[in-house]
Amino acid sequence: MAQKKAPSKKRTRSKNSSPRRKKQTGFISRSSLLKIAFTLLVLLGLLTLFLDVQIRSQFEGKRWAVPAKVYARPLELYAGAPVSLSDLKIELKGLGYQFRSKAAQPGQAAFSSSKAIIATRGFRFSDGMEPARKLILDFNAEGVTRLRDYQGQDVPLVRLEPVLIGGIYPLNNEDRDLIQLKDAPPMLSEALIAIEDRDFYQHHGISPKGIARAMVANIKAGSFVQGGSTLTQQLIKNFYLTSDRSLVRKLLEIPMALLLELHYDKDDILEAYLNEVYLGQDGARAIHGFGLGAHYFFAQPLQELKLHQLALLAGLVKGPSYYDPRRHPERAKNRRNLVLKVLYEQDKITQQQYQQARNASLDVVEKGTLLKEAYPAFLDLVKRQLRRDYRDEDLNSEGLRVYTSLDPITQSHAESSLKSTITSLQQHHGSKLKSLQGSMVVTDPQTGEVLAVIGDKNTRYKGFNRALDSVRPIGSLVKPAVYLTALEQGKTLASMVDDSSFTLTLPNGQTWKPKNFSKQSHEDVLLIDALAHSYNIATVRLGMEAGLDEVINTLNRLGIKRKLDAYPSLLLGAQGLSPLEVATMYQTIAANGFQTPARAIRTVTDSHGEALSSYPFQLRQTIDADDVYLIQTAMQEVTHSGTAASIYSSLPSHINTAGKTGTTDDQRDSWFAGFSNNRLAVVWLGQDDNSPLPFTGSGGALRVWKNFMRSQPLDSFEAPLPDDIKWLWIDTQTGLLSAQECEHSRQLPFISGTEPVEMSECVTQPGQQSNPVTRSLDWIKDWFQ
Amino acid sequence: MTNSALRFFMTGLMLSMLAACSTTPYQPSQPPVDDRSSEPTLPQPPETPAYPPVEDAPAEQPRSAQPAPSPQVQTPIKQSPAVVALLDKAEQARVSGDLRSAQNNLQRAQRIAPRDPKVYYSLAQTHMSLEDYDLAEQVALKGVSLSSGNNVLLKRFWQLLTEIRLRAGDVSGAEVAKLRAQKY
Repeated sequence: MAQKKAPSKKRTRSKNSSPRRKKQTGFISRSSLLKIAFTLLVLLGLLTLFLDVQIRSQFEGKRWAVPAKVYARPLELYAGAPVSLSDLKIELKGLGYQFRSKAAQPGQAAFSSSKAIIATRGFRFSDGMEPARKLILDFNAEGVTRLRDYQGQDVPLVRLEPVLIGGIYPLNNEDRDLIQLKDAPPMLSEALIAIEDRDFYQHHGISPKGIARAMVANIKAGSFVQGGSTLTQQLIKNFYLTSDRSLVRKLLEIPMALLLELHYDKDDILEAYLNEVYLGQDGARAIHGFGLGAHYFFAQPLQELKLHQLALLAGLVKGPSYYDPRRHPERAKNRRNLVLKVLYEQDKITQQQYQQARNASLDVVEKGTLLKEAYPAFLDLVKRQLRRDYRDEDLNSEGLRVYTSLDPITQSHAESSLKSTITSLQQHHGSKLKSLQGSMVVTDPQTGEVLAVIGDKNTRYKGFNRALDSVRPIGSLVKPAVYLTALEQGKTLASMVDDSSFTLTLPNGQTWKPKNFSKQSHEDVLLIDALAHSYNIATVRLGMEAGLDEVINTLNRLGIKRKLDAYPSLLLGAQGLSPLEVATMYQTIAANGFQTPARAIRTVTDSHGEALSSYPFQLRQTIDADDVYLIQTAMQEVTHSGTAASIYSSLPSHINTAGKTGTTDDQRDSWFAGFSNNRLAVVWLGQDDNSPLPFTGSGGALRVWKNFMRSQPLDSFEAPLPDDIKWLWIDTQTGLLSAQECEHSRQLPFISGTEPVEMSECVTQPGQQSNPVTRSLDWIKDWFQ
Repeated sequence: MTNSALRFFMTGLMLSMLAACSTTPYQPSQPPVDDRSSEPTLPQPPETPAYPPVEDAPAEQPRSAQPAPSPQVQTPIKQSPAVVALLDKAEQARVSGDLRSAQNNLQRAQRIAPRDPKVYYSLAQTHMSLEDYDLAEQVALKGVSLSSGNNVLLKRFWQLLTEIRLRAGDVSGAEVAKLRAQKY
């Protein structure tokens, strides 16, 4: 090689000199001609060599930047799984299953009123293969009651394949699913070859016969209807050359095609073609390869496609935009039928197959049937978490697989709850709420996994992600942190708190007079009621007594990492937080004082399924179990008798919940954060222009929350009772010890040693008690005397 | 005489009826619980509840008849065959030294049964074997928080915590855990 290079330089120089000589003499000697011819030959050889190196290095190296694939959590099916029949349908639809009367092939499902038969496709997880199999599921109102295989044997547990929810694309936005030739339906190659390059298996890269045939066809038609390019040439064009139609490109195409054929066998070339070909455009995302094309047009894996679908895909190659079956169905159908006709004429299909396929509808699904790119807000969170550990080029080119915690069923219910509530609020309030927006974060508080994220009422909009980036004052959502601080410092739920108005003088000399929402102040109230009814004045008094730095410390221990300023207004939620931060904070309370970071990613594997990193369940106890039990009790009071009591007009009374409403100054933000045992949801409603809302936290965000929670398989919130906690009867008017039979008595939990020691009058002076039972007895006694 | 006897009889009868109404049988194993079986007086949830367009100011809402939070009896965890299968798989993997697989199976089990202390016990053991003592301790503490009332489990958890802390070199912490274990 090196030897050849050196003379080439000399010859290049001599080449340059020869035209000069030509000018000078006007005569070319025979030997000069020979020299020129020889030089050209060498140059051609060199060019060929150069092209050869180019072709081989690209064809044998990494051919494509394969975007990372992001998957939802796989649905776990087992007897007792809280998955309803309609939920299963949501999941299977997202996976592109065909709903039939019989589930015969993988990717098909059949339903009756309380039974489902599904033929799964199987999936290779990082921790093992889940085989494709046929399953019978029985349902009742609660969920799955029995899971059997087709032989009738009970199966303990099955994971469905996970829904593909997105990709991380390179700069050119090319998306593709790589396939191997052996996995492609043979009829796809047949159709492709029949319509594009019928001599594919005979020619050596270019096809004079094909060119002649095309010329005849074009002359006959009087216009350009057929190209003479072979599949090899088309591959060269797409793979190595720019898309401009220059002569140089055309001239390079032929030797490169010949060279490619020289080095590689037909099947390698065909496989590369199947993966390279451009088939359509989804916004900025370019759809490449038949593997992805099958999903994009039919919401099914390539292997499951029927003849008429394969023929359409093969037909699209000629002009993906011109024959776009969604925009030009008639054109697409004609093109498909032409492919079928050619197949029939070449005896590749029988007449019956031909007729059947010809008469079939296009079968193209609506855009967005599959859930890829359906959850931009969640994907945004995943990408941010990924970028801490991976470089961009690894994410968009190495074909990584990212397994996340997104639950498409939960997300679907969250979306419809948010959208329907916003629509009904807008209908009621008219133009005042034209720009009403909302966001939502749903987690499993026990595992810390993020199940759903909404960043815009238009849930597929890839813009401003309010769930992560909209930092708005949280209002009363901050109060549990204030009360928790006071409880940690020795206050009890029965401590009497002063809710009478007062004026606070700030260090800068300014004064601040906190007001209650109702504009009314109260005398002494029980601490638990001050939180349940969200009294502002009592909260500020408590918080100032506990100390602003201490409250900030509590917020940090609850999981807030943001720097917080120690202003008194912090106590009423002037501090802005994102819905995701609020979820993190409430999660710590829901998880009994264990701070659990919100996780969206479970595992990342390479393209072969080998685990690269896993993100295990992490937790740290930051709040004492006793203190958290007290604040959990107070937050249950909020949903039972406080500002969120309307919850139980929507949820069944046996489902225990806890939470807090939040409304900010002038009602600019409507918040609700609350949880059951297995679901935590934070909802924010507000206007992007920050204008006031005609409703509070309970009038807006809480409605979304209720609608959502009602759709969920809820596990009642049951706080585990710590050893040091005892429940005692106290007098609600004085906070002193009382008894069950006394009037105004109520049971509250206390940490041992903090319970009131003084007895209420009802206990110390039983003679003066006014218990209704005793009163009735007195009345009866009187009657009989 | 007959009159006062009748009066006495009637009073006795009515009192006994009242008493029957106002007392519930004493159940020593349970803390006193508010009666949660009665229907709340709030209207029953309609299929598609029609909400008032704007709710009252939060502070002014009437007190609902929904029973307030009260001491709850921990319902024992009924293990589903799915969780049993995953715990078995995890145990096999752990014993054979495939700790990552054990961890995966246990996290699957946790998602299905997030309140089952046994899941946390095995998960803590696995993290201990992975020499991630910090996480092992936290997972075990989470298990403790879910085992209240179950002395057998609590003893096992504190014994495990003793071992974790010893391995992590936290001798005094191990001593505390050991004393806790002896309490049960």
